[in-house]
Amino acid sequence: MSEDLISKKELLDLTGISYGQLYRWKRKNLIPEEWFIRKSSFTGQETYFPRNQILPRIDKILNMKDGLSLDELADVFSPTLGEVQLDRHQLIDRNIVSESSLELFKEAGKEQPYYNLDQTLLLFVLEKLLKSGDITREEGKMLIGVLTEHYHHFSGKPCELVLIRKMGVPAFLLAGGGSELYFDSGVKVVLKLPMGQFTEELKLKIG
Amino acid sequence: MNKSNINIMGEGSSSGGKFGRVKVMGEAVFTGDLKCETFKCTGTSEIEGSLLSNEIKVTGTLQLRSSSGSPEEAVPGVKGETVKVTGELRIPGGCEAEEFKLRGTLETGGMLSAEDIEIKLHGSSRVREMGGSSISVKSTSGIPLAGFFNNGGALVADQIEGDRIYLENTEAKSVRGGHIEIGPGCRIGSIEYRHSLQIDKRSEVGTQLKM
Repeated sequence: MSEDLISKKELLDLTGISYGQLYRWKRKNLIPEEWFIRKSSFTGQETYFPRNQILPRIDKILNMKDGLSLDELADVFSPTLGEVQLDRHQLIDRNIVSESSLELFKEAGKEQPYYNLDQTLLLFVLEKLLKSGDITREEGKMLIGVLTEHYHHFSGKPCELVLIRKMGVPAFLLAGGGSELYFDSGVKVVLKLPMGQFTEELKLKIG
Repeated sequence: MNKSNINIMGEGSSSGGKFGRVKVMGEAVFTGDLKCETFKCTGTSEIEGSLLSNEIKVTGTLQLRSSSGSPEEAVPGVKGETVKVTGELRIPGGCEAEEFKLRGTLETGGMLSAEDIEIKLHGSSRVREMGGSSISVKSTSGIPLAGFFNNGGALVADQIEGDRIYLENTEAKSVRGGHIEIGPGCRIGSIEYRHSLQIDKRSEVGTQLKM
């Protein structure tokens, strides 16, 4: 699964941004260091980016930058979550989670009077995936398990949530950002999503 | 929490840490990462670690080094809003700032990234990569040094990228940017430009390409 890359030159042409902007956003951590992939070419060194990540990110920066300062933007994109406590009513009122996802959470024995951000994130991911129809309720419980037990290992580092099925048997895994995964031919990769995407969306909802 | 200030007059050392204002007059050694609001040094400072400060002003020498016990991946670098150096700046890692002004010599093992980069060369400098909106490298002597025999005031870089670039006495493998002006005394491997390009006849340029 080789990633689709875009060169810096092409990126600037396509988006109309300048070298200065690109370097500024990198300094402000709006674009993570690991997206800058250096390769040597015949004219010296050329930098490449993962196309599917950089293009939406630049689009977001350009569209949001009028309302927010660059530092505020950086907070939105940063994979770490700050401190927040929400109870179930707030979660439902803010459209983060629906009753049925909370119900599932309760069935898994994880119900709390207040939810901190990590748990809110978990609920949010659960909600999104259930709603999109990507996972079943049974798989939802597995998701709760894998995230509660292992998400903290990544403490702010980028990681991806992967769901695979083989012969109707599902399995969740969390993989470090940018890692390549290969499976045998009987395995279907149902979804492979960067967790950062969820934290960004959630922060916009909470903030 | 009120952060304490630190003043070193004469000779002194500190283990680094978090401070408000840091002022050095003389010679100072910091044996760890230094994080402060302002860092002002007249004289010589050595930091065994990184420097993070809003305002950095050095007249003299600032040298960063990795401490002997630190893991290899932690390459000391400088991060600030404004960095102004008259003298010598030596960094094993990179340097990030909004405003970067240097008169003297510079050595960075990583990337120099700033909105505005203004370098007046005095002695030989080396930068791996430079990037920013506006980049200007000038030689301090009024007469540009003819030829490359004299390495008295020259900059060597791998790659320079910016929206507006002006270079003198610079040797670079590749220069990419919007408006590029190559002044006297340069030797550039390849240039890629978007809007305009001027090359002084006392400079050598390998390939040039308009994008």
